[in-house]
Amino acid sequence: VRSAHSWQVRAGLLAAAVASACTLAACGSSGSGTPAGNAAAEATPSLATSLSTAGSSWAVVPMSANPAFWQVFVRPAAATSWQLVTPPGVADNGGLVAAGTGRSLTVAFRPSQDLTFSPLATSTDGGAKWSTGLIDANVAATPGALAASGSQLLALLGDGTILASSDSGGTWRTLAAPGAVAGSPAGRACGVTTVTDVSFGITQGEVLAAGSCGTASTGLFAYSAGAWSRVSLPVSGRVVAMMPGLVLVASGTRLYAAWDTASGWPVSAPLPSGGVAASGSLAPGGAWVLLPGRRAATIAGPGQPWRSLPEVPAGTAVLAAGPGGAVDALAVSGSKLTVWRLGGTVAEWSKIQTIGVPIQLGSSS
Amino acid sequence: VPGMNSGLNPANPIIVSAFRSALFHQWAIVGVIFLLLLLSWGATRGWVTARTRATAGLAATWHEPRARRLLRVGFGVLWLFDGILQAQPQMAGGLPSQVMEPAAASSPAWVQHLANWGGTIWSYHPIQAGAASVWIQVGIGMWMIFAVTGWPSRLAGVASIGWGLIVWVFAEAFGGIFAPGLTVLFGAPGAVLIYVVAGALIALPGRVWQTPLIGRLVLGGVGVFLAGMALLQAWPGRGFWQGTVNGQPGTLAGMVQTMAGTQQPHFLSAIVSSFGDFTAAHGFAVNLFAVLALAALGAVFCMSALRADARLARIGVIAGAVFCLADWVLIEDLGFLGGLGTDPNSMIPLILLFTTGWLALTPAAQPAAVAAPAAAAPAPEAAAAEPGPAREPVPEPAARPSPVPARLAAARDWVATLSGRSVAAAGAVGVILVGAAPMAFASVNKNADPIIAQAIAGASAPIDTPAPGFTLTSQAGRQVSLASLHGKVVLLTFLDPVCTTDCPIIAQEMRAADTILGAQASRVELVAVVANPTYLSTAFTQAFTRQEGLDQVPNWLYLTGSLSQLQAVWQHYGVQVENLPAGAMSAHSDVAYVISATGQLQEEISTDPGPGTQASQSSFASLLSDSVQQSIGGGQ
Repeated sequence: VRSAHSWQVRAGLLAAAVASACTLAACGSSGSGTPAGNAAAEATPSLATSLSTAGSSWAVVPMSANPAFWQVFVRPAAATSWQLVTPPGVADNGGLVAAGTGRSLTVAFRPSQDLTFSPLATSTDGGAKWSTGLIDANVAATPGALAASGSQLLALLGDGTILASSDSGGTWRTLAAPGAVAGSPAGRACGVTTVTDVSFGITQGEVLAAGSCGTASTGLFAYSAGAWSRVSLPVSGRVVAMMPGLVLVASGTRLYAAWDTASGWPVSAPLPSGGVAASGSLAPGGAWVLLPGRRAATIAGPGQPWRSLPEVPAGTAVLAAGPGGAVDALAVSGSKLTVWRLGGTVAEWSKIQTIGVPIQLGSSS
Repeated sequence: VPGMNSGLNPANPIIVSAFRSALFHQWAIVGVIFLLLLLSWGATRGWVTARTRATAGLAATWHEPRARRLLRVGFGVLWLFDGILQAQPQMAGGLPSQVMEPAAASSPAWVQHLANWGGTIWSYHPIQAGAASVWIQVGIGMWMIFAVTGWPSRLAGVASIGWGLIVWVFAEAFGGIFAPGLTVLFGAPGAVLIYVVAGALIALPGRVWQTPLIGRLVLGGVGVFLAGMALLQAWPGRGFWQGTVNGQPGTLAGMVQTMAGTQQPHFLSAIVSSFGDFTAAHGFAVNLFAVLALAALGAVFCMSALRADARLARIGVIAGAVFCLADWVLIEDLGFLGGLGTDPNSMIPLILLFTTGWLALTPAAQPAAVAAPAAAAPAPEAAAAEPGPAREPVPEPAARPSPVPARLAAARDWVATLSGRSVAAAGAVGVILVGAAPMAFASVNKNADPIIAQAIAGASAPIDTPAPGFTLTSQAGRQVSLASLHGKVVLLTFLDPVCTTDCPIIAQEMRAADTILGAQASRVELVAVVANPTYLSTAFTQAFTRQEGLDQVPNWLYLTGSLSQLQAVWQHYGVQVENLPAGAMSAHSDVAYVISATGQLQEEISTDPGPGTQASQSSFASLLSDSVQQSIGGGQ
């Protein structure tokens, strides 16, 4: 019988009768990376995101597929176009997690295949040069797994550990062991199961952690003076994203933004969402969300309404801050990135740039 | 199935060449075995005594029933044919991935793991396993053909059972009986299971064949089997009643069209393809015919078994042969063409089986034993006893005094009375041993054959030049120079500490090589130099060392330095290192060097791990440890 069928196969297997048992081992597995467009129904948004620092807008975008190669793009504040600045030297098929502060951006490589720890890359010059760092563990697969404030860094690991660094990632200490938030009085009261995001609060040295307390209860916790306390928000729901000074909370099919201010946590009007595919920050206090069905919305800050955008271009992975208050949509098709811009009073997306990304297929998988 | 195959291309020229070479050498050994047997037999035949001649003449009076002869010769030829198919060039490298893995793919996890176990063993020693399967099957086939009667013939049946079961379990994944889509039309429950049944029948005592009982049992068994298969074929919800489902070929049509797509002569693929189209268009009618035919054949065979009715059985045999031949051509597509076909599938064995049942219903009477004239009277029980190996009358030897002891003379006489068939049967056992012995020895070694690594990375290159020196920093922060390692054999390689694929595999291969070296590892230093222009601090060499568990290996050194220091070492050792853009890992040469205890470069080994399977990693570890041992043995 030929191999196309599997019935009558003649095989020599004397060894099966005489040899001892062998252990079975699986080889490496491919890294994760869910394009934003496919993540609409997922509980957590894609790692695809964008953020703004003092000098630049940054975007983290998966390109190609099976496996995805994650890219970092930057648009300096004074520029109108984007450029590819993915930090070199590490295969990033496992995904990238980024955090910015001042003029610097730190990127953590999520491990993939046989790599089990997370190298870091930090740039203070708009991605021209990168310095290296290390988290000797795997960073969690959430865009809120890394946070930066000055020389302070926070990292959330896959096992729930929260690490802190006060020297820009040179050394790390454990701020919360796995289960520490869940085991705290505040965590027990909420019924926290997992920690999903970390961030810095507006108070000096305050650390915020978002956890899952089921679907109806918002689990936001603040770490101060060696103890975790629950942050009271005026809206209940699941924290779907946490950015510097801002959390997005899903309550049923509605989405709220809540800001960390000195006077409390003001909440936006609800946005009918039906799930969040990806999210990110636009400018301090501003945020964008990609919703199912090529819908998108932005919000500029506390007291501002949600602004629904025209249907985003096909393949849009992230939105990002464009020049002069414009919104850019970064759309992916294979190894090509197309930048669309929605600015001023124009009601349609305009294609402004195409970047061919030299993806080295087969280089790392 | 993880771990099963070596990940090699079945057509890899190194594996194919080695397989051919092994078969050629073993063929030569087989030839020598037969030559020696023939010479021994011929030399002793002239010395036979009159008494042995008389005994031989008496023993030859047992005539093998034609049913048994058909079964024995038929399945012997099938085993021979299968053995020859097993010698296809790609079989050694391809059987686990191309045959075993697909066979088990739709079966439950425990079946897959069992097949994986066997496949892994095969992958560890593909040349020996491939050659063993050739000679074992050829040997069993010859044994069954040449051993006509007596215990040698019955043992051939036992061999067929044993080997058949191994093949059925490991290579056929139990003939797919635990997988969905079971149908006799495609060979369920596995052709080799019929070989096993045939072997069991051949292993029965000769007297069993002198009554119709065995014929009734065989026909009854086949009848019940076919009736059960008819029921299974008719069972709703299995997809056999639909020619197409949602515009796609149904179960049967899909199977046929898949077969038509395999490599084969055009006229045959055209016939099979046409039948596939016909089945897609008339799925219900085709399945109805198959169900009715199977049920009718089952009923005819059962009835003929119950009534011991040879005439009815003959009708069933004719109808069954027509049905089976049609199935063999139109659905099973002959079974052995294209790809890695290893046998002609189930229909020919099935025809042989039920024809045997029919013939066994009417066993011929045994002629009376006739004692040879002028011979000493044999023991009375000789004629009634289980027939022994077939012997031929031999010519009267010249009378002369025997110069050998009595026991030796008896043995010599026994050999001299053997027939040519018996000698050939003995040679067949030798053929089996020729294939099985190397595999048995190989399988004792838990490490894979280095040839897999050579097939993946190419042959290593011997060199003899002084190793370029360097001084770098170990993962512990200690300065280490190559000169400080003199007195030990150094296995030097270049690894990227943040690599996601090859480097962790190579590190594990080095670690495994260290384990293979055992006590000799104290005379060896495993040294890696960082091969990444960006991530090169000791923080990364430490993290990598922990990641790979190499912090438990005392003779492991992972060296790094400034970029300029590293670039100098890379240049001296011809290692290309560069960062690739857009999220790719750093690219670098996968190479290892064996440096002698006196600091001489002795060998360059490509360490590109290829697929990084369990077998290939073990093979690389064997290759590396072999090279290091050679350097240690060389005493340089």
